[in-house]
Amino acid sequence: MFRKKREIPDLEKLNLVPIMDAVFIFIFFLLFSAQFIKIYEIETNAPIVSEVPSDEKLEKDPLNLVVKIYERKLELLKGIDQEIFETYFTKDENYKEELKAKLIEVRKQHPNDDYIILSPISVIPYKEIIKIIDIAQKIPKGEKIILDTKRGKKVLTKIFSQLVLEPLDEN
Amino acid sequence: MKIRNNSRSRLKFDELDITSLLDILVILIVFLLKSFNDSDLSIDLVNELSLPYSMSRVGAEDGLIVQVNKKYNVFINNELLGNLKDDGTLSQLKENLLKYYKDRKENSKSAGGELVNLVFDQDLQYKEINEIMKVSAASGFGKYKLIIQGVE
Repeated sequence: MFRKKREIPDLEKLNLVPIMDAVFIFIFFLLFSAQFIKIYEIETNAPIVSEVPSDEKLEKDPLNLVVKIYERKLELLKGIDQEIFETYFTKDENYKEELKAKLIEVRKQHPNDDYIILSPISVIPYKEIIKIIDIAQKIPKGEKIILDTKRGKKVLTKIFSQLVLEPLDEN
Repeated sequence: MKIRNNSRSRLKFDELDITSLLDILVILIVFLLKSFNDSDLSIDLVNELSLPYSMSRVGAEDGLIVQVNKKYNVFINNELLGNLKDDGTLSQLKENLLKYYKDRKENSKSAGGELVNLVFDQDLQYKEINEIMKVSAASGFGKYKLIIQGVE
């Protein structure tokens, strides 16, 4: 027995004109909003004279972390007395990694202190300051920093999120 | 009488093959989608200003824009104010910033009243950028946003 051949109906050709119109409009919209330089921001604060109300008791051991940026070295200072606890020389190849590791360690020791003060001398180029800001804020890829703060556990998105730029007294 | 042979009317065109055109359009759309800018802020960088590179991925917010280029020319919202090395530029800057600050504060609809976007050339020294920051702080702008270029 012969099987009856199924008839395939002729398909009408797709009308692509409306979709082409939409695509062209979309292209114009994207062309106008395209930015070929990826622009981002870093938030910094103006130096604060005093933020702690006079009647409020100071923390027993505030971090008060300051990074002094010189042409050839960086100094880390902390505490009320501002004692130097670490020095890095820019000629060292690994100084950036070492500095970042130290900052993460300090941050873990002081979960409630989120401020870092960068204090460069006047001749430091802006791009170098941005590099130090990156070191002080960017968490290394694949690393997760969880802190036990007063308000419970906190996953950090930046090592130090509050950044203050302050001129260094060079005298 | 010569009968004109109207050959044109007999011409038949094959249908246009637009497959390759569609391919190009799809590639163009992908490329444009990749460079699509969803940030609130759009900056027309002034001449002779190259932004420093940073790993920061925080989208820029709309606000007042102060730019200083390699030649120390100061611009507010793309209007040239003067040269940083000239006397009077900083006081002029302060005057303008105070005016903008007052206007923005009064206009409750506009967000980012206390925010100033600082766009500096990467080779400027700290003493120069500090001058601008000091004037901004003295004019009421307590927060600065340093505008940088993302590393690919």
